[in-house]
Amino acid sequence: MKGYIHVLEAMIAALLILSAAVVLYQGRQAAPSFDVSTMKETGYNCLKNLDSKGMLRFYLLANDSQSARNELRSCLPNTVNYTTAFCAGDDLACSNYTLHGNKTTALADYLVAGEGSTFQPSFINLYIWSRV
Amino acid sequence: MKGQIFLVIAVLVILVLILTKTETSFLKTVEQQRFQLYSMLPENYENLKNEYERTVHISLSKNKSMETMVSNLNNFSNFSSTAFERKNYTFQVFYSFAFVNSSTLNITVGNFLGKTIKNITINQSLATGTLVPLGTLANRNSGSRGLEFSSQSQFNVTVKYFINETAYNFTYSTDTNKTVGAYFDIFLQEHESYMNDKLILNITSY
Repeated sequence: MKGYIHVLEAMIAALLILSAAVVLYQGRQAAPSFDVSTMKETGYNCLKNLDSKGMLRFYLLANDSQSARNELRSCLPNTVNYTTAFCAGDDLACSNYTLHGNKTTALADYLVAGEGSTFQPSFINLYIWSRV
Repeated sequence: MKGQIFLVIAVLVILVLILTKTETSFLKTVEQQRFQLYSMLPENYENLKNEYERTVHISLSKNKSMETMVSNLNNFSNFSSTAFERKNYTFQVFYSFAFVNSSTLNITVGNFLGKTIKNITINQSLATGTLVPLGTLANRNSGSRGLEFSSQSQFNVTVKYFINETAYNFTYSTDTNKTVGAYFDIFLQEHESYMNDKLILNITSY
């Protein structure tokens, strides 16, 4: 009879360990969140991608940040809002740009020396914030 | 008591599991923080290096003057210095380029190391003539020296200089068939991480 009790206790112990392991290491569904570093990286890659298509510098020289903004829509997740600004000369920080409310904003920037025979060192700033 | 030992062991094992889990989470957090702090350095460095190359190409496409090249490189270096300082990066660049125009060779050195460099000498293996030493170059300044040559060939440019009492030098190779042979030593630092690499270009005029 004692032998059976030992077996039962051993089984309970094994079950306890198994339950604890399952509870501690179960795969948790990550809640969708706005991660600034991920957004910075995504934004930079989107700007780089637009540059490799030959469009980013074209929009910069035409001072057409709206078209650059439109082109970036397909590259960025739908969960975010964003805008672009061209910063150069004495206004490197794009001081005219105002942040949208008090939302955490990721800034991805891309350095450009110019295009063709036009030398125009600038930063293309991409500001990204969560829609939620 | 013999049987209860299993339960005691189980409790101990669970405790170990909990401790392991906590430790893993802590390490993950530290790693994520590090990633957030340093993640954009390689991208920014690559971006910077590509745009230095672009500046050389732009300078050559507009006209073939050495002055345009010097002006654009200094302008771009100043722009980048200011921009990266605002981002709390440390940015430094030291460059030299050899500009060939028919039978004239001009060699320029640009200092954006954040400090004055002294006793700068330029040696080249193309012509027998020697170049007048550049002497001292303040931060965010450049200087050029030129000489005539007659034979077409490959040649080396060696630049020697001193920062405080320490001597530095670098050599790059180019050719009289190339309009520009250029050497850039670019340094970019963000917090404790940094990247430092050389960019060497040999470009024939368009």
